[in-house]
Amino acid sequence: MSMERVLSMSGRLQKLLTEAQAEAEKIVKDAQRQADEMINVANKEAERKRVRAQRGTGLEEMLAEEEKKAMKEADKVVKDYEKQVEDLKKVPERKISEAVDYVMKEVLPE
Amino acid sequence: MSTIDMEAQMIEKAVDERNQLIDRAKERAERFLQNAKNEEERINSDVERHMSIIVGSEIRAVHDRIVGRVNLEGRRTLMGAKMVLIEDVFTKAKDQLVQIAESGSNDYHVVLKKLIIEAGHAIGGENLIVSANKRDQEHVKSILFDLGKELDGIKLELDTTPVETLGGVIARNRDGTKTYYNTLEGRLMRVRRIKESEVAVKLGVV
Repeated sequence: MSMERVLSMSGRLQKLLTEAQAEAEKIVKDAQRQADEMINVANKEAERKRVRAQRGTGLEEMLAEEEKKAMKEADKVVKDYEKQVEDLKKVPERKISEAVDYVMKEVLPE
Repeated sequence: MSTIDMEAQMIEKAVDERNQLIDRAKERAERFLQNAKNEEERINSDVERHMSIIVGSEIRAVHDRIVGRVNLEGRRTLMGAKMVLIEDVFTKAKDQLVQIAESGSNDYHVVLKKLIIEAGHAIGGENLIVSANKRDQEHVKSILFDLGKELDGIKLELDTTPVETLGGVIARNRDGTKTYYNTLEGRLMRVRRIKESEVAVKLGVV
């Protein structure tokens, strides 16, 4: 291997690392910018909501949003009760007979 | 070391170094984004809390109106379904009691006797007038006759006016100041009043 070739190779590798360094910095910078933007947007939205809430504006919007959320929750509640009622219909005959026996034992004198 | 090996080594080292640089950068980027996400969540939760202080009562009212109503209806429906099941148990028990009473069997004779003795103990005293339905009058008469021999000093008497009952007896003292209702339906009602929750437990519907 000639000295020139080594130098050339070394130069190219150095360039690769320099480019990698730049790429790495860009990755970090992009993420930082994205992170800053996320926080910025969240802060702005929070501030907007706060101001609207304080002024009482947008209350209908919030209530409508809450209503939507509540309806969803209510659906879940209804389904849950429906399932419980369905489960009640599946009480085995054996348990009903046991309960009847228990009642009979209590009603009839010992 | 050959020049090719040297070259390969240099390339490998450089590529390793490059990959490490990029990996480290990606890790840092990931951390930035994760922190931002956490911060975003904190901001959102803060604002939700803040807003709930300002308009919380209105929001809660909406929630309670919708969810509270279905909860109430659901509980009512569930309770109704439980009551149907419990009612079924007591209806079946009543059917069995009717069967026993109508059978006029020796078992029922024993039951009647125990009911009369229990009533006698509850009332106390020296006189006992026992009422029963028309069907059971003969049974009661014979039981009172036997008991009269067993319980020396206590005067037992059958009330010849029949009472409306599924079975069992109603006993009273002579001056009518004490009455003990020991009918089958009365006992069933008493059991239902006292033991309904235990029946629910037996059914596994609590």
